[in-house]
Amino acid sequence: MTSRKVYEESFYKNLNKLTGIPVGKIKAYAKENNPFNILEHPMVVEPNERQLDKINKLNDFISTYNVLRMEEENTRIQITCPQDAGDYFNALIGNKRDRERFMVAFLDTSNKIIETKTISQGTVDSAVIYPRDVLKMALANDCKGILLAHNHPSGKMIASTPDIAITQRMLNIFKPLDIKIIDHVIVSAGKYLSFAEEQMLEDLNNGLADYKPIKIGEDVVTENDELEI
Amino acid sequence: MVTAIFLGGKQMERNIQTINSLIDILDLSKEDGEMVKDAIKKEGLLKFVNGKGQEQLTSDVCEKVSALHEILLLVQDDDSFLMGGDLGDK
Repeated sequence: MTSRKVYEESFYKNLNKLTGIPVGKIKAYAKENNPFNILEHPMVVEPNERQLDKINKLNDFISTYNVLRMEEENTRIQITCPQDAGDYFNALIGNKRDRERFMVAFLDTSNKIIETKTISQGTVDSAVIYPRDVLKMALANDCKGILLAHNHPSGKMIASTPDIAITQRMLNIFKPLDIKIIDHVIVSAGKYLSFAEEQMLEDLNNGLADYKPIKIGEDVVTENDELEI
Repeated sequence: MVTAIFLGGKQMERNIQTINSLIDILDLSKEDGEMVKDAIKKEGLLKFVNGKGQEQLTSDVCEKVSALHEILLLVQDDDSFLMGGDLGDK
């Protein structure tokens, strides 16, 4: 079955489910016409009074839905540079001194924020991240980009080995899905460190996706130390 | 994220009408209608239609919301539909 046919069948079935107009009538009209015309010109399928009322209400709802969607699109915050990302997350967690918080902003194709979520709240110097949670939220938001962020309560603007490791893991998970990790920012008291700005993202090579939980922390880990997972 | 619903004044009136229309379109019982209203208050209309906040609803109501969502998506793709585009080359 072609994708167009699938779309048509889906439209017939759903329109029937919501309005009660028989699928046969819709299909008969769609043989020679664009079935979407039914929404604009419902009389072409000779609906009864109740079906006509449903189509009119459906049309009203579609209009309102589209307006709301446009309004939401226009009110979304756009991240255009690392400074934007730093400012945004500093406003959210830059002043949190009690514990580390790991947040993720899910972005659309214009880098406008669809939704921002706190993924993990840890201790004063560490937090555990479950990549599968991030993946679930990314898919639910149908995002095209992801912005990672966490705070360093100590105020140190240094990326630790675990910070780099989680960035690497996220890159590995999302690259095959064509979802771009646009940056990972560390924030504290108005300051920020951007992996993108420091060209640290470019240095990270792609490996195999690994969905095990990750513990991040701001302790600087030496080369001989193992990542605590 | 800003949810452009329940803002007050004329917009509120419009939103109430929209929700009432939604309840009519979905043919909901009074009880289901109240649950849908609560879910929309919590999640906002857009997120609700996109599938959020439906945990308390019956499968029948969820199926109807899903049907509505599919129609909304299909209408958005109407241009591609008309032109063939990615959807086929009728």
